[in-house]
Amino acid sequence: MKYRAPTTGPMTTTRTPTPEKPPEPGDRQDRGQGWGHYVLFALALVGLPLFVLPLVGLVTRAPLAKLGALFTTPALLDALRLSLVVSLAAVAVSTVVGLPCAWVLARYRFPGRGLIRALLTLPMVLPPVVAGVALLATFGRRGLLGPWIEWLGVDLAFSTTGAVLAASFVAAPFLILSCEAALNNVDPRLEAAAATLGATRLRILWTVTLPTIRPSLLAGLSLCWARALGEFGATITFAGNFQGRTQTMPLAVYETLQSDHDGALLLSLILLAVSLTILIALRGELRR
Amino acid sequence: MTLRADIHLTLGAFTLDLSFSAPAGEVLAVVGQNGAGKSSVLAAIAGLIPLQRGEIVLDDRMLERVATGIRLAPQARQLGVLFQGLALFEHLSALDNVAYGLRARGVDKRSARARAHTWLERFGIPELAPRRPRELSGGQAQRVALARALICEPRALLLDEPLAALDAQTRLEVREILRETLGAFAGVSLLVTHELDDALALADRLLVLDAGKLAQEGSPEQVMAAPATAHLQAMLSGRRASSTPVPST
Repeated sequence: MKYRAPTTGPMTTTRTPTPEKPPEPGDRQDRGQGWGHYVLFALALVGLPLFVLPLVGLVTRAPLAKLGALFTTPALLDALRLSLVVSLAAVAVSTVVGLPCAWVLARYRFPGRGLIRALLTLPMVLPPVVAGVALLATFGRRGLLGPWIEWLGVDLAFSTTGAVLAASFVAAPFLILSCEAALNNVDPRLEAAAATLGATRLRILWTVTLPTIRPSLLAGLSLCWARALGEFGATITFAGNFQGRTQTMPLAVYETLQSDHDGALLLSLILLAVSLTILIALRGELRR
Repeated sequence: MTLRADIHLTLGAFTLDLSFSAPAGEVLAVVGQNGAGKSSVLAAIAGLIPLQRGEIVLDDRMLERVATGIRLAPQARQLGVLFQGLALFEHLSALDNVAYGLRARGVDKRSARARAHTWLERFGIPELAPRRPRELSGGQAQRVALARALICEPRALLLDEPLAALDAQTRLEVREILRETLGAFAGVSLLVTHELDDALALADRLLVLDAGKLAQEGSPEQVMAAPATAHLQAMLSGRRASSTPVPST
């Protein structure tokens, strides 16, 4: 091990030899002799309107003058209320059972772990209507657990509880995946330090682990909520489309579209506003 | 207040066998190459990895004894640990980092913070109380971490590579902080380092660890006079070739 006299600080870095090839202005453009980047640029130009124009269309075509009248329709108020209740309940269910799933996957090594992780995240990529059929085949009256559920006296299919179940089923994986990744990245020394300082395991979880994964937790929660809020296929298949019970906003939009084009536009506009609000409220946390 | 450890454990292909005891007030340094098992010694004493055989006794308190199935949790061992990289809690202020151990032991927030503040004063950094760890310099962070480890009045202090990854300037500063702190500490201090220089500057006695076994034990002078491992010899010859003043010789 060689020891050198202490350097005089960051100023010494100016003495490093100049690079062999001095950087030229416009070097970056000159280096690309091909036309590849023009193709990318053109494709990006196609992509931008493809993703943005529909939103412009929605906003410009919606008859804003009728917006006030819409807020007095009981069907809309029901759907709006139900959407909030169902999506928030789904986030709560996902947190209460999904976070422990993420924790077990991140902290324990056991046979079949990979398979369980795949199964837990499958609903994320499953077509929602298939998720709905699967739920029906399990919790429906003639489903796998039907007799037990009937014996308990609860009616899951075609009830608000069913809508919450459907939304949780498809939305929880977003929370599980983002939290599992974050839990894997927590420096074990932080938790060890808390343990040597006398903190119980629960206290460590609450005062060290969760605050450390806070950005990922918030991102996971918001994605989970957004997915639950937009849930359509599994809900309509499993819980049905009953105003005041299972008809959330996306279902109301779909139903309204059959008869009242303007109304559907306005309902969509309201959903867009809600989503945009979530995005803006969480922009700092999501960018991390 | 003595620490007596008889550590035997296997981690994958690596086996660690080490026995030593240290009287109160002694600063004991475990020196060795990376992969010699130094950090595992600390982790075993702190209760973070279990022994397979042996025992750890601090004063008259049995921390762990495999034969009788005694194994105290890290929470119950009353040890102060300075982790490699310090492991300060990024989401808490310097003050709340220091107060953490008291809060975990049920002290209410106000008195915990008041006591943490006196510890920051003792280290000469009361003005840093509201800062987050990432806003602290290397030397300041070291003081906060030491205060956090010492606030619950541990019976022994374990330090894992406290001088690794510091620039030359900060290293001398931190070494001075450690010298003062360890000098004032009444219990056993166990310091793990791969830098012989730091061990010589801080420790009363050296344990040289090589591939999980004790290669040499003795005072800094004894180890310098007859280094037992090739790694030590290389470090010592590098040291003689350099012009830095040698402490304590």
